[in-house]
Amino acid sequence: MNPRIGIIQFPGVNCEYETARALESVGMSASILRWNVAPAMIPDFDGFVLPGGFSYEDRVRAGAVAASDDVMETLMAAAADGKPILGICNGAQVLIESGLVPGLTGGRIDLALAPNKGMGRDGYYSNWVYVKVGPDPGRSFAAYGLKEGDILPVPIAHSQGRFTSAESGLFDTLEAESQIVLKYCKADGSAPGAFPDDPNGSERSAAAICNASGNVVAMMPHPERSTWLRQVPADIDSVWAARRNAGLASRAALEGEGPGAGIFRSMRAYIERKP
Amino acid sequence: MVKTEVLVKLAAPDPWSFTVLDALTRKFGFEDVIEVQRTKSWELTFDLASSDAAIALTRELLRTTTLLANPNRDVWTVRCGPGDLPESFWCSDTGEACAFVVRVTDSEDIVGSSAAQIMRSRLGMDSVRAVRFSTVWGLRISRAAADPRDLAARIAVAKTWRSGLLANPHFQDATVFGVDDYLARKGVP
Amino acid sequence: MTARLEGTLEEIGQALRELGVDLKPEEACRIRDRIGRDPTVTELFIFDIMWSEHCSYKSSKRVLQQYLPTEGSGVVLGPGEDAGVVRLATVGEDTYVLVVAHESHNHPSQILPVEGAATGIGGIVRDVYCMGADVIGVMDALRFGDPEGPRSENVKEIVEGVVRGIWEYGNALGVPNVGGDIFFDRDYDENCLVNVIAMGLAREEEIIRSRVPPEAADEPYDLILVGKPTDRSGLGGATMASRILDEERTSDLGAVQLHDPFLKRMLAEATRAVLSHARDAGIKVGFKDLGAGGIACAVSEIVDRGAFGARIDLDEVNVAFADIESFAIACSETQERYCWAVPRGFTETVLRIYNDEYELPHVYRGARAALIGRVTRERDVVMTRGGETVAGLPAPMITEGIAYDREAAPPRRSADGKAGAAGVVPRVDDLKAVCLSLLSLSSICSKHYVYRHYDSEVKGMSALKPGEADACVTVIPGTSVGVATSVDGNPRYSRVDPYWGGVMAVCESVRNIAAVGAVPIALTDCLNFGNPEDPRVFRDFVETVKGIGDAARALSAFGTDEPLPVVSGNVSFYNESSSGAAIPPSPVVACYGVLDDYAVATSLALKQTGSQLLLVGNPGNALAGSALLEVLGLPGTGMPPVADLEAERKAAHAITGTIRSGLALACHDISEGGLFVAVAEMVIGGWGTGRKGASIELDFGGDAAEVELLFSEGGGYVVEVLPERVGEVSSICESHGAKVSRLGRTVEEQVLEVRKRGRTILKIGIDEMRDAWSSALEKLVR
Repeated sequence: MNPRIGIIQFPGVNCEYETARALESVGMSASILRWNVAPAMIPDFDGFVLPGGFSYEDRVRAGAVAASDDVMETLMAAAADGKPILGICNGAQVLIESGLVPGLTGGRIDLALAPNKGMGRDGYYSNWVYVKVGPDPGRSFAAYGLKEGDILPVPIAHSQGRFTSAESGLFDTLEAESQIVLKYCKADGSAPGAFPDDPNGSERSAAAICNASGNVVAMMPHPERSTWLRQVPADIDSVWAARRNAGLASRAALEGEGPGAGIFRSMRAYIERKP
Repeated sequence: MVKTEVLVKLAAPDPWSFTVLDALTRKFGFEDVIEVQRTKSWELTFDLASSDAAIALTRELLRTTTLLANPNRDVWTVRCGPGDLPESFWCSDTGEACAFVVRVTDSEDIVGSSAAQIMRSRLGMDSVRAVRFSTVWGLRISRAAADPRDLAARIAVAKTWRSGLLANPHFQDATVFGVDDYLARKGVP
Repeated sequence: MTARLEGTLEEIGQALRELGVDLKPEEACRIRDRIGRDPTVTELFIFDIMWSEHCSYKSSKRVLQQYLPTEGSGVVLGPGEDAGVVRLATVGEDTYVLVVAHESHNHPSQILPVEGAATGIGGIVRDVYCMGADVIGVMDALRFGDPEGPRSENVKEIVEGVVRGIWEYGNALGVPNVGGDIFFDRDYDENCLVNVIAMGLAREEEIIRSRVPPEAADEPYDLILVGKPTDRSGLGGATMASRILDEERTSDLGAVQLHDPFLKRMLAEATRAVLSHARDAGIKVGFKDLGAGGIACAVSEIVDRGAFGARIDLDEVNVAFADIESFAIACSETQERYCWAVPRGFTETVLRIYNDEYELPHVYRGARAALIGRVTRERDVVMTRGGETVAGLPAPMITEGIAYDREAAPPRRSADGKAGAAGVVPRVDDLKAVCLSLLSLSSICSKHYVYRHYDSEVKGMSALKPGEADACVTVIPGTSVGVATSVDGNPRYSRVDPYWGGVMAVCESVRNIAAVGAVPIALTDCLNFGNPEDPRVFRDFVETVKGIGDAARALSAFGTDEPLPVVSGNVSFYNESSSGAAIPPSPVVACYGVLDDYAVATSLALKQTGSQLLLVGNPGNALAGSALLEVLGLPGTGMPPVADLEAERKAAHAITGTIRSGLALACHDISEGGLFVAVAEMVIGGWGTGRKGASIELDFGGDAAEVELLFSEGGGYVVEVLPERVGEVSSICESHGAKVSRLGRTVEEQVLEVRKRGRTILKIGIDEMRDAWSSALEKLVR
């Protein structure tokens, strides 16, 4: 049977439907769950996705209010069970604000997704960026099927995407433990340097971070917006764009997989892995 | 150097305050919280000799631009030194409750520094040295609470899951004041 | 409370002003005569709003009816309801329709840029949601003052605020931004224009009408109000002055309209649940959004369209504060509200979905779904409060509105519109400098600085994003169908000649659709003008509408001879400041197209070296109102752009045919800045990443001056084609009767080279062009 994924629809999220389509495109089934359904009514899913959007319109702080909703107890239990939980953009913010990522000390909030910096203004920033898969990709479900050094063009769209911490040495630990799953980079994979290749000033250029067990991942870029080749801009500097242009006027080619599909494929492979 | 502070509040019911109150009472279980009010604080540091000149320049800024506040949407007050604004600026009525003020500032204050840059480069206000932007939350807490000040302090900082809300200590600083303490500050800190 | 209309017209006028009603004394007397008694205050407010220019189109409606084509075989619903509906494509069993609405939110954006623009988006998406469709895109056409002019600081604040309002609302709501355009001009210093467009997708049978269904004749129907608690939004009285805390505050604060995309998103999701229940159970409902005129007008319209009446108990309306007046409950334009007409047995379910499942009362203080009344067979709309009748009028009388014949001054035409009329050809001494100035002109340069604020990819349906091609392309998931969208309107043309300005707005929007290979299926428009009581302004309005109508009839869609229907739109008059400064005639036209197979659509960037560049159509010798003259600082004289709508149509069909056959590697239309800018943009690429050069020859143009050949804005397309496919393209163009010329080729060297009679007259490096083009906007508005 195909893995079954629950998508949590916090009030104000807005990427739940395309995220469901993306999960289904790699052979999983997806159900959208309203945030306030009774825990007893939540089926035994194989994994969860917290989709992007603006839960509670980012009031107070992105993700902060949703992180206190009751449904988080279900997610915490699933995380403890080793089930994969992917937070995309606003979902990542919820995972950070609930302490599930990096989850080093039970229940403690060790990280923040702070407002973007480096673009010379405040507010929202959307663009295509490149991210590179970090070492030991198999340790998190999100890069399970990818290779270290793979470069993926993906879109970002957020105001608060800067991973940071006041905890000294925390990022050394995350780095040492290979918990930084994806890092922003230039088109050729080299270190991003300044804005715009580094879109938000994130510590260690982190774009996605996982918990210690690798089954909870907070990811700022949107893989569901690069799941099909047609979603990849024709004119960016990437083999994926070249592939799109080569398939010009061929719908079969454009409906083929884009770079983001690799994340969802990884999730599926992780669920289906032999123990 | 002289500092002024502009406190700006929406002239309409604030949806953010409602969401915070709803979350604190229904999700965090802090039923002693009676009211939440959100105010924006702009602290302007001027390279000027007198408070009067700083106040005059701040008022001019408010009159000619909408950078800090828009008269079609906001109410505000300008102060320099101990304030004289009513407690009701943060809470509608203190009555049988204690009022606290939680000031939350991002440690890298991008909103404040963008505003400072606009003031200097676009508006030619050379005497502006710094701008600090904070969100100031007014909390009205029932006296029935075991320790109202402690509750305000807990609400102020999110340390562990469901322990606090208003600031994430990894990029924000939160300071808790009694309303009187906030206003009594000599000058603007 | 009854309003006493006694005494002279002057005295009545005084009484109306004291009530805060804008009706003219003559209009108030007309109301009294129609209903045979003095109206109540609430009734006066109802007519005040329903007879306003905004609701009644009293100055414009006869002109619009006379000149604009609104029907067509694909039109499901033309102008008249909240949004127009047009068929897109049938895939298997499903017929998909596009639901489009187009409005202005100019004045509010000038006063409160963030909230004004945000509530503009909020209002327009509501028009689409209430038809039962899901909003799949918004566009915005923005006209701002001169950021380098005398009101520079104010203009920059407005630009920043409007952009912020659009992103804060649209991004949070989760509707992708699928394009727009921006102009800066000193004539907008005191009147910015914020025109907003929303488009939605539905299956044809899912469309909900804004009317009580006929089933209400046989079973009881309830009226349910959903959303924000009613406040005094939009009802004068609340003066905006004196808002400084340490001064005495006298005004009522309930009138500030704050945007709330969070509440809107929750309403959209809950509504989706209600609609799906209704569909599954075969329950017939009516659904309408609330806009100007609030409950009174929405209820009147929804019942009147079904030939019913209503009884409304205003005590049941959730209000923001207790002491709100009856007329305010009835007429306030509080945002984020909808009205349902549902069979009584369904009422509990609707209330439960909004109030319990989606927890509206916890989303916004005082928000909920409330049962406020019932549908009656008698056609009166009766509203009571505390048992007392505050309004009781026949529904048709409320909705019928009024119309005026305004006086129009005699038409003005800059030229007679015939090809070959003499225009002034300006001298250009430093061609390269002029070219670089054109690329950094605010209306031509890269808009990425603005786009980077907007979410264009939420919903995951985007195939061509803003800036990548002449139109955005959105794919209907699970199908091959693409929807192309574009919005245009160049005030420089309208200033030269309002008729041609209208013609060109249609031509340019259609060209953009054709340039991605889509077939145009509908237009919407927003007509922004000054005071219609000024005969010169009204003349410009009439001329513009004539131009739009003529072009819409001439540019029939590919494969048909039907006119392009204008299925929805809006007129915005009184765009003038207190000092009397009015905006130039500013038509904004949006065009919607369909691609059976979205895969043929390509970005405008050159794809490879060694391919051929062809010119389809003829840009002509049109320099009036051109970007060239703007850059040279010359007044807008000369020949207006389009001389030949017939040629325009043929070129559009030829390019559509070419792209549909999968023959275009890249395509770009020729508009502002002429052929030079078109080719330069293909070289630079929409993302500014271009690495392929181009070499073009101007020999296609016979003896015309090179300035005309390079910078004329009379239309046409540049298309990149593989050398071995040139013959196929030529024969497609010839079959459509369109002119096709060899223009040049793409080259390895990273330059744009222009040659005439074998001589190089211009050579610019890609990097130099990119620098001029990419950073200009941010420099201008920051």
